[in-house]
Amino acid sequence: MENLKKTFEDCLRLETEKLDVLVQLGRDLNEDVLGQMLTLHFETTSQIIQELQSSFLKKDFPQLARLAHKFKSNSGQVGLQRLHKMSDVLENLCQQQNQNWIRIENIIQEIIQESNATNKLLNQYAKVG
Amino acid sequence: MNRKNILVIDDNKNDLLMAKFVIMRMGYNPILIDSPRKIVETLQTQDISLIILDYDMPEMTGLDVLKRIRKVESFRVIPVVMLTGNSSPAHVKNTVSMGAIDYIVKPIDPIIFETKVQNILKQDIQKEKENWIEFEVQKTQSAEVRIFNYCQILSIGEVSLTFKTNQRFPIGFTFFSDSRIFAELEIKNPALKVERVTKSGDDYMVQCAMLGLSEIELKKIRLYQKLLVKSKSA
Repeated sequence: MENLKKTFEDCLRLETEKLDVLVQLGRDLNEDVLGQMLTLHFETTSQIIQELQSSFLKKDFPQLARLAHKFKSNSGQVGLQRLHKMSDVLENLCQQQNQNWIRIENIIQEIIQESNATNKLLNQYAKVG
Repeated sequence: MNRKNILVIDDNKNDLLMAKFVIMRMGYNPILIDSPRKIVETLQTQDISLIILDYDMPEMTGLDVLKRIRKVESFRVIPVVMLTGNSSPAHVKNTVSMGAIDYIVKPIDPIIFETKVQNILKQDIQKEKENWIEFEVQKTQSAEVRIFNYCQILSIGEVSLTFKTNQRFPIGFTFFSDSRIFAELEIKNPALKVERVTKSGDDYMVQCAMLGLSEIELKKIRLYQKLLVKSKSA
């Protein structure tokens, strides 16, 4: 678990270049692309976190893997590298034959904490941008 | 302007939204569906130039959808790009061997997405040219008769027509059915008749009227082969 924590910490929390790309896309289209992407991100993130918790209680491995997969893609899209890595690890753990429930529970908790922290960062970026 | 339609199938709303913005910036028309079950209906009702298909969907995997598309003759020609979160060589090899023309790794990078889509559509334009057959009209026959014959061959009922011009004169006709060109006819005689000539200073004004379809002779006919195949399989 310590090694895993180190791996997560080595990942950038927010890769702002990804958000800059969304800002540029918005300029080219004359639309608030960043705003729309972030609004959807916040909505889906809170929904996925709720589903992660309920699927964990039901010990529904395939559903947990699917949710982690979705979370991985969503967080990567807005530059959340650490959350992307955490979701990737969770997806792999849930796809293994013999699941380690303690590790899965720990990573879900890490994801929730990280998600709360990154939501604040994203909001700050959106305000500044 | 007749913009190409790009169909994106993904159960993830965030990826659909991202794909929508990138496709819009490219000047194409995004058609988005969140369930693979809607794909056949969409392909039957819309003219799709490219399909971007998510590999991991809960109802049906991208590979299953791809197999389904490939079973239908008229859908087989539409290029498919797989959208995947897994970029391992084995996974990519499997995807491409099943008939996808390329793959795009998630999260979507707009630059990579645009480059891949643009390259595929360029190849598609070349293939599109090969889908046309052109032949000279040997026997003098009026445009009206030819149009009637081809509409029957292609089982086309509703047809709209526009004139092709060389800026001055009509030189042919383009026929549309369901907003899609299916035939182009090049005409032999100028399809105009002079009705009135008036002098205005040093200039002469010539008023012309179009000849009727029965009075126009054809030179060349170009037919869209894909539609011929479609009408035979229907």
